[in-house]
Amino acid sequence: MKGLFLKDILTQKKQIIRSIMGIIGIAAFLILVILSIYYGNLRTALLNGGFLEGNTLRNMIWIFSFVFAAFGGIMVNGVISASFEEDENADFGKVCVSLPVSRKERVITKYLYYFSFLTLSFFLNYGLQRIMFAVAKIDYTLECFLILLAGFSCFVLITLFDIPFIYRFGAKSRIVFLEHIVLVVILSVLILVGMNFCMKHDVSAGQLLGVISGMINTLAVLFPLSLFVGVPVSALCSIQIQKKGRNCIW
Amino acid sequence: MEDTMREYENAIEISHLSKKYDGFALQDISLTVPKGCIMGFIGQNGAGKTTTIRSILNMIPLDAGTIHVLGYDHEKEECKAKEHIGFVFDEIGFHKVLNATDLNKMFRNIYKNWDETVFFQNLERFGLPKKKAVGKFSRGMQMKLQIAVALSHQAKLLIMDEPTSGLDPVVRNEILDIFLEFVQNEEHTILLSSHITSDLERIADYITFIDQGKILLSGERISILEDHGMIKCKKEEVAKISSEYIVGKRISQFSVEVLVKEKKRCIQECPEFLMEEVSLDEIMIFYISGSKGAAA
Repeated sequence: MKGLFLKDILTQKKQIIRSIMGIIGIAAFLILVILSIYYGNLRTALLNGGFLEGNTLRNMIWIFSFVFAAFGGIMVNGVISASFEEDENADFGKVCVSLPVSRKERVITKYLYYFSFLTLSFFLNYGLQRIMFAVAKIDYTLECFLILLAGFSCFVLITLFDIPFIYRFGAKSRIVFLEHIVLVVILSVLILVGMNFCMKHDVSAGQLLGVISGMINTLAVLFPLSLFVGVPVSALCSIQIQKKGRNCIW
Repeated sequence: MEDTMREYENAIEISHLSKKYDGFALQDISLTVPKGCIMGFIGQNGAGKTTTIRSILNMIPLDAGTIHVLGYDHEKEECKAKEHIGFVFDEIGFHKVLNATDLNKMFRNIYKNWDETVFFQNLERFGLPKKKAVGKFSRGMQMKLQIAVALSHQAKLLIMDEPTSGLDPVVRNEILDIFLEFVQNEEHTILLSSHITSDLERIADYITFIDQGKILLSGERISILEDHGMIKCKKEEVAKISSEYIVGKRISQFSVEVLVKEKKRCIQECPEFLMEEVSLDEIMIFYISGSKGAAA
């Protein structure tokens, strides 16, 4: 198992470095935006437009924080998908089946690989989020942490769907891409229906904020749930697919 | 730590293996590869060689039959068996960005008996660089790298799928020498799937010939070659040869080439014909045309 894990790290060294640099780059950009909101041109622009008042700044930084966390999740999703793609490009599957490593171990190694980068990305994001909040001079509360969890949660769930799909149809398969499109369409429809509902029933900004806050909390709760329930369920599905010989390899 | 191996007589024992796909089926394959020999596994493309190897690898669920490799059940004791098997594929399956040193790091964490000293010695012997990315290797170098890996974990059995196809004669020769050296140890066995019969004529002790999912011929190479012969005669003379000896015929405008089995008995019955030696290539071609003729 250790050997296969090492293989993934060695083959993806560049990809991993790129992902980490990406996260740091986005964080640096967001910190610049926050600094500008506080002291620079952006503040002037927002003030002139009458946009910056009350809790708006705080909310904006929360949104940035969510987007940033989601970006971390996307990066990890990219790392794991690229690892499968690399295997497929090299036709490593045939080598893999010739090794004294069971199917179960092969699948578990991939999930461990994913989990390792998820953990790394999570702590990296957490550290950078703390910096972002410190720069913005906003107290770091439990709500801030929930935003981080919610941001990650979206892409953890997607990845947990992705991996069995990849085992069944292959990393380059359009079905995995299609699955992402379907998810985006479902989310877009839900947002549109929600917005339509809000407009029809004259939902106030406060109520809307409450709904968003509820959604964030739900997503945040889903994070540990997806780790402790979703990961084993997804891994079991992948193992079953491998056992039935329906894998994309060779 | 070296794990103890089970005692076995035959490196591979396949018994009544069947596997059905749409449009193709392995039909009741039984095959024995004795310990200490090189078994050549020949057949045209799509004959069932790779499916048989996939079955040995436990890549595909069998419809019927059993497989024992080095005395281990291929399904229940898959990992134990694979600890002692080296595989060489027609195309390299290592990631193109990795180099030999990376592969060493990977395999020493996979094989219990991985010996990195042997691995680096093999690299040196085969003239392979340690730090060059695998993707930049020539085809010959890639095959040699696979062989270096296969020889570095004290494998008792090498299973190879078309290892010499697409190689120039010099590299092919070098690789065949490596195989011959490997079987100097009587505990070592090779199953070599190929359609380059000249390679097998040079190194194989046994030959198994598969066609359309069925084994047409299996036995010692020398016996197979000694048992078959070619008679060249006129069309009207073919009738003098008993059909029980005829494997296949090649009819040209004025003459007929007839491949016969049980050469000695056949020549006793038909002493008027001149019996010529045949190559594995010719045997393969005539058996295929014979089986197609029978099917038609």
